[in-house]
Amino acid sequence: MKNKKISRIRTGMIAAAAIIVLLPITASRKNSSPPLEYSILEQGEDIYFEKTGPEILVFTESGSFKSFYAQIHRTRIPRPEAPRPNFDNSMVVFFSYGRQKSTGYSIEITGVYARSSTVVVKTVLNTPPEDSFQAQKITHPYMVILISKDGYSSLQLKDKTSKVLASANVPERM
Amino acid sequence: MQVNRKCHGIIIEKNGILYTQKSNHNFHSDYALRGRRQNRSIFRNRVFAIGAFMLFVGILLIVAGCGGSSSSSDEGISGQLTVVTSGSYGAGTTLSSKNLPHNLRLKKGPVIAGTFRVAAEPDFVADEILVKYRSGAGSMSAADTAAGSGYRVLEQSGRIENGLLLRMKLTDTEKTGLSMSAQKERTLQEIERLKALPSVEYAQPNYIYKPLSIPNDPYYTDGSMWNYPLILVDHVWKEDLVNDLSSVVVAVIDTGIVRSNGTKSGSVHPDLTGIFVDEYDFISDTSISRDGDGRDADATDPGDNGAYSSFHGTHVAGTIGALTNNGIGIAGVAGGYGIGKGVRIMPLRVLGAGGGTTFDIAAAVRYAAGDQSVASHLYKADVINMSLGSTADDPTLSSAISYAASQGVVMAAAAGNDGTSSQYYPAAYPEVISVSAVGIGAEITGYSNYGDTIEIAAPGGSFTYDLNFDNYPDGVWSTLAEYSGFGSVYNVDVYALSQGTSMATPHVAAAAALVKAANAGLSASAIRKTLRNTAIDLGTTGKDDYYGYGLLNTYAAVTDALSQVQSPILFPFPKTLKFEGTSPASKSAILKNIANSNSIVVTGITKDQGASWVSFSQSGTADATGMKVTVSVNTSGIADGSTHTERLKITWNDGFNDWTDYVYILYNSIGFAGGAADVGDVYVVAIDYYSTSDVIQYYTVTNINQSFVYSLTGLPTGTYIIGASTDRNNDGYIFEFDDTYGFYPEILNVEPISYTKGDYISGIDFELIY
Repeated sequence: MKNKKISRIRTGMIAAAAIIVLLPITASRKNSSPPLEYSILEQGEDIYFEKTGPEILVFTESGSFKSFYAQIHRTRIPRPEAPRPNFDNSMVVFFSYGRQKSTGYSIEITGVYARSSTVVVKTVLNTPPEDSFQAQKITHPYMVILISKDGYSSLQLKDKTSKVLASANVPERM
Repeated sequence: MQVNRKCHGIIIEKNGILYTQKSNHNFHSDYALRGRRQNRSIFRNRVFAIGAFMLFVGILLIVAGCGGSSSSSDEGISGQLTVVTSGSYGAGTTLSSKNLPHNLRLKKGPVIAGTFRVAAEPDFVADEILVKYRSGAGSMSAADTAAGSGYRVLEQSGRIENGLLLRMKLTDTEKTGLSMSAQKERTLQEIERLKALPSVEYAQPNYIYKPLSIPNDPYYTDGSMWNYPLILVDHVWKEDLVNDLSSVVVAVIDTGIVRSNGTKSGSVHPDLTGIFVDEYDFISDTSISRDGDGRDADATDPGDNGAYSSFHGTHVAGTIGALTNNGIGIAGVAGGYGIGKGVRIMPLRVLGAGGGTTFDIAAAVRYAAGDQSVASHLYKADVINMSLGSTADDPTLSSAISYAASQGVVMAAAAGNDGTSSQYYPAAYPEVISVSAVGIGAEITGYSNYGDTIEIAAPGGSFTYDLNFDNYPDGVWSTLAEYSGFGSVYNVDVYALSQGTSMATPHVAAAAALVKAANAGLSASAIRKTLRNTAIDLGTTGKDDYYGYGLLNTYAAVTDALSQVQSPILFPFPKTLKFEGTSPASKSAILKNIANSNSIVVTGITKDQGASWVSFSQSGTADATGMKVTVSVNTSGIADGSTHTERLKITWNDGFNDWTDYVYILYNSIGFAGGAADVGDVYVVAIDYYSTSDVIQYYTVTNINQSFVYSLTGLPTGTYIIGASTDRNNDGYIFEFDDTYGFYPEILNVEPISYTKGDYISGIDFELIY
């Protein structure tokens, strides 16, 4: 019990200290988020993807992207040809909100910006109107975009409330 | 995901320390680091933006320290880990959470009362007998024999091998008032009587030989369309029971039909050419229609959601009425046999941007049911397919559904994909057949809704597995299209797999069309009753909340409509055997003749993929009681936590044709049945939250039951993320896609823990998600 009590006190103190130390940093960083240019390579709802929740993936070379692209389109014949972006200065970012129970969902980008070495992709999942009639097919809304690499080390997928849905590290080019 | 596997972030070393390779991380399959990054962002975000929340976290940790699991240690971090099954995580089938089909009750197929030859008899001319008299029997005496029994001689062949072959026909007097099936019974009885005569060498029915109508559509012939054998429509085709459905109309109330140029003048999918009648676009609001106009007689689908368009109606239409035996693509359940022989599809467009509205759907239902006041048209639909739904129960649609029912229209609708008992309309209306979805192994899919309104189950597909080993997930193949990216140009020659109760519903609508074509005199209620009564009773005996009356059986439904005797049908109960754990007990499937009580000749049972971990034995015969096939799994040498699949290929003969069926075998070496099984080694890790050179302890747990207590000791002061993972493929990387893993407190809501050396924090409980 003694140890637990100490633990409680120390944990609370650490948390409170963290607030004091980090709050000023927040204010300065909030003003340093320049928008990044991006282009949408592909978007849709009809893919094969094992993950059922939100996901963000990063590709920095064509081999892994091509095999990933073929994998997510393996439910379709003929399979669409993968986009051929220039990976010299760019990276391909795939993100998804995961499995949805019907049609009527889509993803909208509300901002792409850098925060330190992290690229933040802020999005909204547009959902079908409540009580509307929808086709009862399982869907997987996703988007593939192209962004400059520019030395970034990680990416985050955020929703409209800035909650981080998923994150990923930028892989070294193999 | 297997891309760049060697770049994964956490490498396990067996000396008790985990190291991360930060400079060589990959984008995915790297849950530890992704979780940490995500965690950091959550942490920063909350601290930066909502500072008080951190204090709350601290308070939570204090509270957490007051409860939870105890540990014998007086320092470190401990908690309880619970392994949970996928449940709501699974996109597809979750067998363990559903009632597996077992202890099944067979329903009687159509049986001729009082006969002892009954169901196995192939089709024959109802009132004719071929009888061969022995050498020396005179033609007159033979004819007399026949005439005396109510038969007259139609013709005689002359002497055959010193005998006399006669074709005899039941006399008109004897036929009076007899149904077709009764005539057949009478004929079989007479054959038995003739056989007993000394002068008769043999007597037999005058069998009807038909072309073997197995469609040549490649997606069907290569075995990819597992959904058709599952509902036994291949037997309908092979016996050529219904090959012309051109008089039957099925309305598909959906997104419309994609055309190559986005207008009515464009071409449709090559597997759907020439099958549409009385199309109509019911979307009155131009913001929804996306075609620039309101209601008109053009159901062309320009897409229902921009780049996210589903082209759903084209997929549904293909399952029902794709051209069959045309040598390309897929077959349709009610596609007939050859060009012009398939069902007519009435595409009615109601789903556009944002979905569909009651007003438009109700109008489409009335139109399909023949209400000319909606818009003048030629045809009245016999069947309406609605692979759509809403949780809203409204009187406008309900009234339209009642109207269609009063007009003698069979209606089928999707039960919904929540994986819950939520009711979707129109499926939940009593006039509508509510359809749940099964996967390749006849198991209810994880996404399929259930409840007492479910009437019948049909193939909806599941992407979870590839149990037919065709290198594609086991969804439902059908016609589709895609936007070309240029102007209003669409590529209409696309085939795609989909999953959902949307995909199950058109199987039922097409089955209703088959029954209607088999017997045009049947009312809508009689057709519905036929589908119910002939369904294969899976799940709990009798009607249940998952399968309703059972799995759709098109063959039994059509033969019932034709008053025709079924050939033997072998069906395994259950069709999927699932094993879990380190020492799973043997399980059995019973191969039964579901058509009648006769024995089926099983000509072979083999392991389709030759899996060395599967062994089996068999006993008994495949009659109504069944042949028992017992399957055992040898777990030695199988990687911990991995999933393995195999299928037993069962070849059998119905007396005329050879058939193949399968029993699917799934083995997950993770399991917790009865607490005896385990998930194998679990590595509990404390990941340094801030350090750039992580040193992470791990705690290896072996032979763990579903719930267990861990304890991390000797931690230095720091802030940690607590997680745990298996290493199923034993490659030294954890938190991979195929691993069982979790983070404190939740996998998608990771929170850090501040720890001071020497302290003891308990109650850090979390779940590992399988």
